[in-house]
Amino acid sequence: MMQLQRLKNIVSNYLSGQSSTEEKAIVEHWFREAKEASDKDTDHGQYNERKMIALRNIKAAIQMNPGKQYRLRWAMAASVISVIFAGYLFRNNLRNIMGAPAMYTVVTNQHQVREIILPDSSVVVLNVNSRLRYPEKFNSHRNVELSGEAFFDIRKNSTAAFTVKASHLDVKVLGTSFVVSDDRATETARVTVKTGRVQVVVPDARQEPLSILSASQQFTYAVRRREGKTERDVAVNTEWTSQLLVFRNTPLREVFAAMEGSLQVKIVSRNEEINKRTFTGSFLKEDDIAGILNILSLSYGLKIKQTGNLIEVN
Amino acid sequence: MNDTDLLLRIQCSDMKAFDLLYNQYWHPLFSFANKLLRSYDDAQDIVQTVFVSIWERRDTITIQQSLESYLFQAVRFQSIKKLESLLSSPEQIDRIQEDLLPVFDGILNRLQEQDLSRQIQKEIAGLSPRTREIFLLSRQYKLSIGEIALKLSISEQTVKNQLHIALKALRHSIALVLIFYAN
Repeated sequence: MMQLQRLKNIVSNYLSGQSSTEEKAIVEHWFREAKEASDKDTDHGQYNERKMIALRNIKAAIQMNPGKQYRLRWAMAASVISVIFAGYLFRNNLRNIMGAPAMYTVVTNQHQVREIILPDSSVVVLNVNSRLRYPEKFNSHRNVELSGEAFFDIRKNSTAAFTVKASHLDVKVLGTSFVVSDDRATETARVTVKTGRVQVVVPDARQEPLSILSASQQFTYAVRRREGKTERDVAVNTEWTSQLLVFRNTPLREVFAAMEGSLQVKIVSRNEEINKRTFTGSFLKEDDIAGILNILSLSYGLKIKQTGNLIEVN
Repeated sequence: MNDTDLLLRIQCSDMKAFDLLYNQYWHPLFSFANKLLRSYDDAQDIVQTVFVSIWERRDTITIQQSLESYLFQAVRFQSIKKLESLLSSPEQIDRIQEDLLPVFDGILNRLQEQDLSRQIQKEIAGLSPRTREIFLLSRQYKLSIGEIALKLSISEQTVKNQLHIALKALRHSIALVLIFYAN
């Protein structure tokens, strides 16, 4: 019998393009034999339910990552509104035409933490590399979609449940505060409750989890094993919610660009030697531009001149 | 609508065209992935990934052959990537041992047999015509030494000598296998 390690080698060599002739032949036979077997499998109605579920998942994933027409619209609008909106908010007009409520999508890059006020005045703080999608107006349901990590502080409304749809988990609440961390690529999705109670639903789990969480409880879902577990007395990490910009060994060029995006300023720095130097640290929401510039100028011995919204670095 | 039009419409972000593509190819792709990995869940996962990536990369997709072969190529690639991740997750070991290893094992055996028989054919072709004739009469047509001697009007000893030469010429191990399969 073939050893597991042998199969591992065959697969990894194939993927890295280093197969021997025999290894390549084995993989190609695997493909060919499966294709021949599937060509004989002509009962098209057999997996219709799965087909529908898969399409729904595909659409959900697609909508978390808006496509060309939105990007294009965004680019045109950005030149006009970038000063006001820092460029990351856009309206999905297509949806509006089709009759559904207009949806907003907010995206953060690897440096930004953003606070979003929802239509019902609930507050969401979106951590770095995350995306939140929410409607212009809530109706009897308050549904939002999340990819990444966010802290939710949800206003109580006992007649309209609030649901966060994440990649693997749905979190339902009436009014409470909690952190959700989940995206398509994650191995562990997580919900941590700060106050109140939330209900977690995992559509894919092997077993429906016992999943009403209260304050200081955390639910983690191991995506690969499709298993969830609940822990008590967990310290809720919300420190990052007070941050505005986060940098790890980031070249100053990028730091300046991120500041321009979040602080409504224009930064001119022509010295490439300076732009290449790296910065690690974070700025908080309450830091004003003068304070941030002060930190940077002290750290790097920079001369910084601010005239209104224009900042010159030397 | 042909595939070129379909792709063009998808590139214009036409969701209806995307649905058409999905309806047309879901079954063959899902079935193919399922035959590869012997799991409905993994097959569904793979087809989902392929379609999401088509939508997300629709701007940059250029298709060399047909849309169909592009889709199957994508499923092949995603399937072997999935296999790689299955192979490195301890909780999948049982399933790999039971469902997947035997598949690869069977393929390996068949390839080795094919190889061997090809090699043997080559070596038989290299024998002298007389030796080859006697050897084939013996192994392929299953004639006895006496029958071969009678048929070719030669002595039984000559037949034996020729067979000996043939078996010596074919390498020892190969000859053994051939005798094993022939009998």
